[in-house]
Amino acid sequence: MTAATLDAAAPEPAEGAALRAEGVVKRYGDALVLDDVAIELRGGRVDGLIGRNGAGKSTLVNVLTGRTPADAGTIAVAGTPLSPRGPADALAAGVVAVPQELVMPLDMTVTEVVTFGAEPRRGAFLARRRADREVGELLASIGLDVDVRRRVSELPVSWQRVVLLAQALHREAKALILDEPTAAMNAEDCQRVLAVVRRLRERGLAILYISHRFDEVEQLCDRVTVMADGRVVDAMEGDALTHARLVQAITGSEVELERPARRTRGVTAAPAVAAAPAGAPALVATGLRGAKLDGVDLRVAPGEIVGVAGLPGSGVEELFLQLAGHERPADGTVAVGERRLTSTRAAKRLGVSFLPASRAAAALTSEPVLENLALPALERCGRRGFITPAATRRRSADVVERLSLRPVVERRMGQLSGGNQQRVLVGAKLLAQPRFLLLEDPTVGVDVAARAELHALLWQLADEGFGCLVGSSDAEELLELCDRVAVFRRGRIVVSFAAAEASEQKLVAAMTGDVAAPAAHS
Amino acid sequence: MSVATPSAPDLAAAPAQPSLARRVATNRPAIATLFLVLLVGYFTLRLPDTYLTADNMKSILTQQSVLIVLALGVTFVLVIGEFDLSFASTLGLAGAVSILLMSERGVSPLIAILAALAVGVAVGTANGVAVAWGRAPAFIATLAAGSVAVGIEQLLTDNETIADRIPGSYLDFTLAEKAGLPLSTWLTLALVVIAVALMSFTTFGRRLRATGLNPSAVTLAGISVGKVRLAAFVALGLIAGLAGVMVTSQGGSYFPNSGAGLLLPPYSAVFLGAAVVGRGRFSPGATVFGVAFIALLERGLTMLDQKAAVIQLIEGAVLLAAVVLARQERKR
Repeated sequence: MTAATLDAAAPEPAEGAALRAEGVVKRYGDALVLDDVAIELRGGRVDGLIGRNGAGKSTLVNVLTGRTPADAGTIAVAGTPLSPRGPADALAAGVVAVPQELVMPLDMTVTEVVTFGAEPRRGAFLARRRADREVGELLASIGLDVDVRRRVSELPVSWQRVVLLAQALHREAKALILDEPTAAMNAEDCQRVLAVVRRLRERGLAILYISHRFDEVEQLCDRVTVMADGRVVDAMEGDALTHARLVQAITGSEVELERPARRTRGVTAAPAVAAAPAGAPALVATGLRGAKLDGVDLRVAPGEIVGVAGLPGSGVEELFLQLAGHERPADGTVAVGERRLTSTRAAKRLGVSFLPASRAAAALTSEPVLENLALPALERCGRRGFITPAATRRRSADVVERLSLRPVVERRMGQLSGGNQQRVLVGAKLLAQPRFLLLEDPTVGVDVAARAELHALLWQLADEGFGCLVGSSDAEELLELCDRVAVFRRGRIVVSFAAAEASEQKLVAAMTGDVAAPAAHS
Repeated sequence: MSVATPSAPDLAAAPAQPSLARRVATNRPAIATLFLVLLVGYFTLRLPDTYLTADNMKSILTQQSVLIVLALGVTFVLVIGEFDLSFASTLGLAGAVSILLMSERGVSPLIAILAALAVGVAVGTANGVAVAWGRAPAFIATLAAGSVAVGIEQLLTDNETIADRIPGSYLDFTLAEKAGLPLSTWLTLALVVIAVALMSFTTFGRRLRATGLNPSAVTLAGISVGKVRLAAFVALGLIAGLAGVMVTSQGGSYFPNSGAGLLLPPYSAVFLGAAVVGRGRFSPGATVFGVAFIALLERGLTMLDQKAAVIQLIEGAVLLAAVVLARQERKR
């Protein structure tokens, strides 16, 4: 495949690679994160890079941009070898990465942000007028008509993203690396950003586009590289680049999924924590709307584990916040039985307990496990505001026992593995005697064995009558864990499967945008 | 695929500009000027013959030179989102070194002044390195550095006043008038201009601001955040050294504890200015307003024979009100 046949419309057919990396190896301790990775970007072409979390995409980007030194391998920019000792070297060579988060001084003006670090100058002073004019022209050329003296904090998110793209352009980037540029955007904003990316391609930039949204990748990219376990496992271009092929590449061609032993009902160990009586009401959400939610109906019955599959930015985060009473829906209701859930207080009263994805935010890492266990249920552990370690220990004995936390209970939270921390946090929630558990990405950063234990725990809890809602972008895990999986995309449930009928491929396809979704308006 | 670019949805439909009324209501320099006019107007009515006179204004300006200079220095450190509790001690040490060199070693005033500035740079560097690379919280690091500076100062001076053999030319720095104002006051005014220009019209100023707003954005731009932080602390140290010279030159002597009472007033001025002019953002321009407001208020109250305690009370109330109001507006 040569550049000429690839994109005849490009104004300057790029000769040779704008950015080429070969034989890149990176280890962290024993873990081989990048294993002989090669990638080549060409001017006027958008290269997609896909792979599961942990496939090595971010590490590759960090190596290319000089943020992480590689253990082996070569990088060349437009034929010139580059061995960056820091981000500044890579920037100077024209390799610019736009990170997933909108990292910029929000209180500055558009001009200030776009020119930051490469300001037009007259002698020792800034040439402010010239900068405003240049930035205005630059933005107009990529189709953004905005007053360059406005503060970026006043702009919508998609414009802020475009401002960061303009920043890269102003730095005369040769190779532009975009990490999930549309992660948290609705369809309209996505199109806005994609349009700008296309214009950047027309201007001859070499672009590496990392995304989990395969519909975008299919629309935009000229070539796609697939990574798994630190290697490049597949590459496709032209007609071969289809949504089905992308899904297949990322889930592996084996359709056969090895399911571990499904939960077995009826082997309930003596329930130590009060279970809901039979016929207890379900947690029901009706017509939820919000910043990203677009009419969501969901029902979690006692004794059921429901999965919500969605990519970051699909609205799952907001769904959890609304269900837990942290955010009020713009429209629609959350209720348990007849009783409305409108605040965190109500959630507590109705027994809805929320465990957010960021473990670090919920844990006191420098304190003993016991303190962490007691935190959400302090009033149950103490008496009239007084609390003693002995009382805490007594009250939490049940939970400690059933979660097998006895060996670690005196240790500090920060010393535990991710899996154990998560179990402590689940235990802490149980101490407050909830009836519903909302778990957001419960197994992120948890090793396989601990993950299995956590699953076993949730199954047991479900058997005792707890209703669980588990949010994740990991299709495999949801299939393993849940009774039912609802797939979320752009603020709606696009399809819902019973776990037994679903396959990982079906799920990933729906998450990344294959199912003709009602939300697919553009 | 991908060859026929689908017609790009155009990026028009900009969010509307704020209305004219809102822009007038949020024109900070205008509001600040109005505040000053009202303040001066009130005292002029109460003190028609003495308040708004050239002599009085000149006296305020020379008297408050040290405060202006220190407040400008503090602004640099606050802009990068840090804090400095050492500069008043730095000022004392720098003044002591300068006076001691002249009194005991007989060096020329120029050398003594340069030594004082060097002391300031040294303390600033220590602060900057501790904060930027030592990852120490600025609050504690600068408190410690200030404590060290006080210790050295007391070891050097035995906590006694030193006034012998100070050359007259050293006193001339703050006393002898050239073109209507003492040299130190001209220098202060020059520093105001330099600080404003530095912050608004140079890449250095922009880096300072960006570091305060979002350090990771600065790192991403390939700029060392550590160096920016160091520069801000060194700038304040240098300025504290200069203020040490001004204080000792005004008195023609070193007296113990000369920095005491100079730590908090600059912060008051900077925060007041930021609250009224900058919507909570620090800038040299806002700082100058803060100093001017406090100086004019203080002089007016003094001339109305208010007790020092009352003056202090009123100033505190004004500052608290301004800061709280500014926060409300930011929340919107």
